[in-house]
Amino acid sequence: MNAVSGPQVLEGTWWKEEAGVTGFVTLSNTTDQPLPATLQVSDANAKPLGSYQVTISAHGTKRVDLQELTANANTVGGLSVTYNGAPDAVIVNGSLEDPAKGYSASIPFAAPPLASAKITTLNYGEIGLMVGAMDPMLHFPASTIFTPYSVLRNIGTQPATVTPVIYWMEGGAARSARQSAITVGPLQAKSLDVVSLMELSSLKNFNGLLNLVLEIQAPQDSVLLSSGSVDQTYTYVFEVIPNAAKVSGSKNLGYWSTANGDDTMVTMWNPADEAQDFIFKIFFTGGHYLLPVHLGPRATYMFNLSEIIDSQSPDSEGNLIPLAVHDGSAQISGTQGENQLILVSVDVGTYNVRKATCAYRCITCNGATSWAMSVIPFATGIGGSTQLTLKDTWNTGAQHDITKASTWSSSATSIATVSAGLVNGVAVGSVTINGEDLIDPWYGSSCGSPPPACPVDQGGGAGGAGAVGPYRVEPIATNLLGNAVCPAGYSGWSRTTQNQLQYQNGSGVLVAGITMSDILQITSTNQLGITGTQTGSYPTDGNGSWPDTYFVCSTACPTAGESDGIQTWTYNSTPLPHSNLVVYKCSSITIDGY
Amino acid sequence: MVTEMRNVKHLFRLSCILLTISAAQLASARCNSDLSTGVAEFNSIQISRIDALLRFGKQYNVCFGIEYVDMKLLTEPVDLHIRNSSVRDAIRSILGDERLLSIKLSNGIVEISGQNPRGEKKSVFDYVLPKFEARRAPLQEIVMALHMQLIVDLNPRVTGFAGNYSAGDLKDEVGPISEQNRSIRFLLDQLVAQSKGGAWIARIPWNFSGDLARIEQHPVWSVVEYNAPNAGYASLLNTIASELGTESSSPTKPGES
Repeated sequence: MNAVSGPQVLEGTWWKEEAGVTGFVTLSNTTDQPLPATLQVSDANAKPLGSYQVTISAHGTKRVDLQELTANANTVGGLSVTYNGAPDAVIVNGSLEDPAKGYSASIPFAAPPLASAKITTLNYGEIGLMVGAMDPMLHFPASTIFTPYSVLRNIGTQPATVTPVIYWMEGGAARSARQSAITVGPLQAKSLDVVSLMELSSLKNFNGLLNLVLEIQAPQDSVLLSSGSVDQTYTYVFEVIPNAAKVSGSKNLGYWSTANGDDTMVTMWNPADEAQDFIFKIFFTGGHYLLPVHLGPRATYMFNLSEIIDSQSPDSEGNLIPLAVHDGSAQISGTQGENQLILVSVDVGTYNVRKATCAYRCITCNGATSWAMSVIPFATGIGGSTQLTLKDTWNTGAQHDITKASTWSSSATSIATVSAGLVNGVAVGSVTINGEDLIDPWYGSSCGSPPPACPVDQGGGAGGAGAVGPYRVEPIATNLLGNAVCPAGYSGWSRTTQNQLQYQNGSGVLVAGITMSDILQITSTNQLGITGTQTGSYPTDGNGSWPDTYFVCSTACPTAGESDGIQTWTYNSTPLPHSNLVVYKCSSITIDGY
Repeated sequence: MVTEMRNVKHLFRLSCILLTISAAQLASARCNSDLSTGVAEFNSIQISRIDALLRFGKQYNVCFGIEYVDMKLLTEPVDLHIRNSSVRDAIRSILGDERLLSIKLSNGIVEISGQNPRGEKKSVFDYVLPKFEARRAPLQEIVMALHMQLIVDLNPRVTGFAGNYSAGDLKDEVGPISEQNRSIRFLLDQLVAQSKGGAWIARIPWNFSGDLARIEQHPVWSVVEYNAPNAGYASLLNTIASELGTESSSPTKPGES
């Protein structure tokens, strides 16, 4: 992803459901200065088809019509927007359309992944693709037949392996068919032939909803996805936002509507191998309604909000949704509460048969935003004990006691031991007690195409509010300093610090066993004549820290002089964004200003 | 009253046990040089043979100089269950019988090296330093000083060193040292033997005889302290495994061939 001000790239993909489809891209400048930008259009194999140079006025918007799509035999391809500036300086949107038929679909855009992004395998569910004739309760014209589509583009620099798996319900049971993997090269775009995949799965005459799950092995966030269903007249386009199948806490499903001919369709899929029970909580002005949902292994369940309202069936608390209610919001959670971990993919779309419109809804994952441990500092007598508690606070405002679920550790078990937060004094001394719930989900948004995997990855540990990804290494204590042991004829300085891996907000990454490695590059300030550098690798302890000795030995010492080095770190081979300036002198060593 | 008396007895027993443990810890501060010492039991699950060897060394106070390493020894996880053996046989079992390795007691520690000859070439560990002196200091600091002394001896034009290294146990001090005409191997053996217990490990393949650029840019050995904080070995061993190259020239002073 683009992280700092400088060259920015946003990649998109286009596809043509039928020959008359063309499209446009809008570029909006959010800054106070005019901004030049380039839009390039390419075919499925990244071969350039056209290029547009535009200058967007301050706070202005430029629309670029994609003329290349009009008379082009290609059915799928790529778009690339480049500009110089901050990551959010230009907002890019796009749409594919055929006004003659009433067809329209959104063009997905996303920043390419960092070159250092690790290869992962993640399943993306395109949930509730409509196939064939729909249930009459959905109120589509009787002859309406839907065909699903699925388009993907690799916006990374490494090949992506994509394995499609189709899931559907048959006789109340979940069925699946796994298809052959395909490889999508860097910047290649492909349109999956879902109809052929269905035929291979013996679903030639299938009518109903199916889930297309794409098992993607590639650097994370390097495949752009778009999917949905379109009817035979290209009037109804039901876009489905692919979502990563990931364990989470409760999820907010945003706005729903049944007003003015709208209805909101909710499709839930259980990716797990075991059955799960959920509570679908419908919020509306003046109350809420609880809908229990039981999903067998890999099972799919679809309902419309209008059904629930029309049923006028009281929930377990005796609540009803008044017939006069036509909108609200919703949340899905486990039966044990909002912080119960669940694994469910959900798609929510509000559609209007009369207007032939469909709008999908962004989903947010509820999760922890801060953590607090009770009684700090505390004292315990030898042989005595103190019970510590660890609580998290979620974005919803709720607090949860996670003492029992947390992993506890003592920095010196010879002084005090800890189990389930109960600290037992062993000997006189000071000790640091750590408690962390490694599976506590973080709060995070889930919009995009596909949206970022939700909940946000912790990077391990209970780092702190809003902390995303290890960011830097900083000394948190100096254990020893003095003259270094140097070869004869050399002298210098040595400083042993306790270094810690930290998030950008300064909180520690409290995870043991991370391998930290560094490289030191001496700058042009080198009065001490450093020609040899030594660096190493270090495992972190439960506090995300390790003892590290910085040293300098020079023939120029003890005369005054200075050599500066840029120290870059990796954690488990992944580079950290922040580098340290290390200033070596004959009688001092300063690390990043410390 | 009877109950109270029993409690007093328990306290006395507890004190005795604590004293016994303290004595054992003092004994473990030095390296056991008797390879016939009995080994009642040693188990390890899904760790590499070198990792297991270090854990065995820590458990039975055996210090090592591990000059032979290969990818398999460093990274292949194995299960080991050793009972009623001697230290020597246990070491053989841990290292496995896939390769011919020399296991011998030397300078107070157990040296593990390959049996296949290097020919006429000598290893960097055979390199003789004319002089190595250091005041008493933490083990890892002296180890770094030895590395710098080797580089200076090979390339006197080096004017300065800087960087950082794993601090290890700052209370594990060795020295002072004043040795003349000693091999790197001997000096490493001495440092480890003086420590609270540990091992030195080559960071180069057995057939590597060294070249100056490699030695100047990367450590060619590491010293593991059994009682150091963060004493998990897998991270270091994986790093060494990733570094293993194919260099095979002899350490030479600039200008020599």
